[in-house]
Amino acid sequence: MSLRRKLIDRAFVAVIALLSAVGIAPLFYILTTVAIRGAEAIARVGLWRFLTSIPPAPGTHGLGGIGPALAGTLILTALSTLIGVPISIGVALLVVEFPNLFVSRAVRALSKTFMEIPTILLSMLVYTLLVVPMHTPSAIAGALALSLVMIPYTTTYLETYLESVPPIYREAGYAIGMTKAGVALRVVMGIARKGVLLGIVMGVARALGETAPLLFTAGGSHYAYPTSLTGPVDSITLLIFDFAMTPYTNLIQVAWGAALVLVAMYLAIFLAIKLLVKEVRT
Amino acid sequence: MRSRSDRLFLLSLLPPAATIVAAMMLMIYVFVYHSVPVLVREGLTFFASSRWSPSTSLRSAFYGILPAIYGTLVTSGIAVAIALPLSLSMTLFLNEVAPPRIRAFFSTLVDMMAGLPTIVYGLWGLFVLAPLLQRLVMEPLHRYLGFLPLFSCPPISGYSVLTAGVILAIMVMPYTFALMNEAYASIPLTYREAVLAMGASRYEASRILLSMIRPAIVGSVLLGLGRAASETVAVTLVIGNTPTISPCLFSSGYTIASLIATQYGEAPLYPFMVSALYGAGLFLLVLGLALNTVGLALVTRWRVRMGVSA
Amino acid sequence: MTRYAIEIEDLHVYIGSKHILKGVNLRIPQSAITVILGPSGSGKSTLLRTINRLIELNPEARVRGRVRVLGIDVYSADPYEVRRMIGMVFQVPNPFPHMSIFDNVAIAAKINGVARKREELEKVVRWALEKAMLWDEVKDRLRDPPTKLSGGQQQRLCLARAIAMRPRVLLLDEPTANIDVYNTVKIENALKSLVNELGITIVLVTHMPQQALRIGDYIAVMYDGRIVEFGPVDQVSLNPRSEITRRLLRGEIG
Repeated sequence: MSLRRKLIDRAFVAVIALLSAVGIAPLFYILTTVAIRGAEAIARVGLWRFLTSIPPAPGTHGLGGIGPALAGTLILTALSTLIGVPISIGVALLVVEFPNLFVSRAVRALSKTFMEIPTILLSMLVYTLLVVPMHTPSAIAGALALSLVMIPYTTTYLETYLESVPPIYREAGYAIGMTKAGVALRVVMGIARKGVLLGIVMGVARALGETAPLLFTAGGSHYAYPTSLTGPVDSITLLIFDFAMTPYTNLIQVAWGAALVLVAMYLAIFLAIKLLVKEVRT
Repeated sequence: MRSRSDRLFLLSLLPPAATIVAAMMLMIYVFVYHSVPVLVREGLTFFASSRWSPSTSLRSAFYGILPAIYGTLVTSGIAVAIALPLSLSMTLFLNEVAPPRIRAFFSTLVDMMAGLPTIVYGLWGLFVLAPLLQRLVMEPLHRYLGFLPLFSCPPISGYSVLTAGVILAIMVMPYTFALMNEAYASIPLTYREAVLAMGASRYEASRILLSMIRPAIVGSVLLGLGRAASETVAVTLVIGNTPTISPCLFSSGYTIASLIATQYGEAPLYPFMVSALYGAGLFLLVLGLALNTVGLALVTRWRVRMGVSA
Repeated sequence: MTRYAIEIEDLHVYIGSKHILKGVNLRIPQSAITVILGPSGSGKSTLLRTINRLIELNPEARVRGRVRVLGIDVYSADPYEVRRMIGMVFQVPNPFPHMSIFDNVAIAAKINGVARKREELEKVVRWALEKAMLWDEVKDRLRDPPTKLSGGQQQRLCLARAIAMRPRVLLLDEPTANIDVYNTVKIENALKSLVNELGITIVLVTHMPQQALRIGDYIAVMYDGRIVEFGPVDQVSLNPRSEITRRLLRGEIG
């Protein structure tokens, strides 16, 4: 190779490496900032108090915590998983076991389209459908909006895993006299069960980090623990959003602490996903 | 369906499917239904006007969403303009340059970025990125190149369309990377072998292989635009939220998503504002679906072109 | 009650636009091993799958004609009931990877109502594994997943699973094509004893003439979607009427 070609190649590699580093750098910057500022905030009151007490009054020196918001996030995540998982499994089974029906093809396409809808619009939809008739934002509304985000996601993953079960196992199931339902549930879901779990966990990760779907649906106060599923509920993401926009330094500090908690939860689930993926591959 | 138990099974699976169909139909219905009032009242000027005057008096109330549309397009455009070269580089890095052990690590990092809660990006953007950009990028550019319309307005704060574009770029980049990487990695082995057998250097090989997936790259751009246009909280925090239309990158503005996020709470107080927000939402919905449909078609079509099985 | 376990009349099968089975007529005697011998592509596997209606898993398949198993018109009956009378062993061993060895056999018994309670299941599983000549090798590791077994052992496990259904008919689609000689012999012996001790009707598809001669009572020669010759194995091998049979038996076509 001529010198010129060699030099161009070297320059190419250098540019590519540099730009890739630039692309990845924000992650480190963000994680470090969150870690530092968040730790600062949490350290002022201690982890347990931060996770359980209510936030401080605006503009004071006290710091308080994110108890109600944390409770809300857990409730919303659990509820949306409860709503979303059965629907995802049902749709995935329909699409994989009855692939030639018009219904299956339509639902498959619709589900993919749903993935692309801006999440704030989902919030508006649930607001009109649920919050207005109920005259109050609620955990159910928030969870419903979250499940609308989660379902297409989880369904797509499940479809992939269920389809990848080799046909010879399906044949074996039919050959011993299993019905379609038997084959689907006992053989296909049985073999793909780690993949199913992975899909569910990924859905949970998604639901955990969303803000926009909750904007007009969850509506809870940051200062009061939720009392019922049909009443308003807060979430860590909403708290961060609200407090970040205030001019009060103590509230902003709480927001950083909350961000650290959120990131920690996210990384824990991320790790779980990575470990599960390894298991699914083998 | 020849067997009774099969039919029962199918019937039991129909309710979940019906939920999705119903949700989609409701979505379209609700948005169209609620947009009609403002569209009937203002016609196409709804999309073309920059006047946004909320008022309880029916005479003076008028809602134009042109600044929101402008802001959406500009911030998404900036985002993709920045994310495209970065994703391309990362794709090439992962596939051509990186040693095998770094590949998995790098992939994991990008996956981490892809799923990180968007509010965290927003928070960081608001308190770290905006001041940083203001100090290191906007002020110098304004001082030395302020004669250019792009940099002509003084950056009073870092909250601008530029900052929004940058934070969107950071958030969209893992997505466009994933699309391009998937396309690049599925180029059939025989073409890679052919390219290498010609004695191509890494640079030359990359160029040839990239040209094979050109439709996928264009598709990724469109999909990235769609994704950027949909993002709400991160943009709302850093864009300043003013109804401005300006060629200057440092001016504040808003996007359809941030408009809805900030105004929806008070909208019921003003007649027609709710309808206006639904109209804006409908626009965003159509825009997003259009970008996604074309983008997806392109991303999958390159396979047909290259004779790759799906 | 007929002498024949399976009666196939004028069977045509199309897959997409391809005409795979072109008017098959075959009567398979009860309580004997009938070997279907033919080169690859002759439609043997397709023929087998029309008997237990597994062919219907292929959305492009169309079946015309009549198939009767033990006097029952298979295509008018409920497919699941049909399949419960018939066991099948496939070319590639397919024990359920997510169940233990014990459960693999037990589930076949459970579904078909052969046994329900714990003790009954244990007896049936043992019996099926013994008949498949696998019991001694797995009796101490019944809880292990089947992936720990060799290919030949897995295939015998699949045989045990089919036997646990207590089927009247057993179909085998080139069951020893992918396994070693030692396991092939074991399986062949197992099949012979199944016929002798339990009176099961066995239909075995193969492309290896030596196997047909070793264990077959009857042989049906198949070529290009048709049955070319049928009769007791000794008769056909000594006095083949068709040129194709002659060439197959000599190994000239495969």
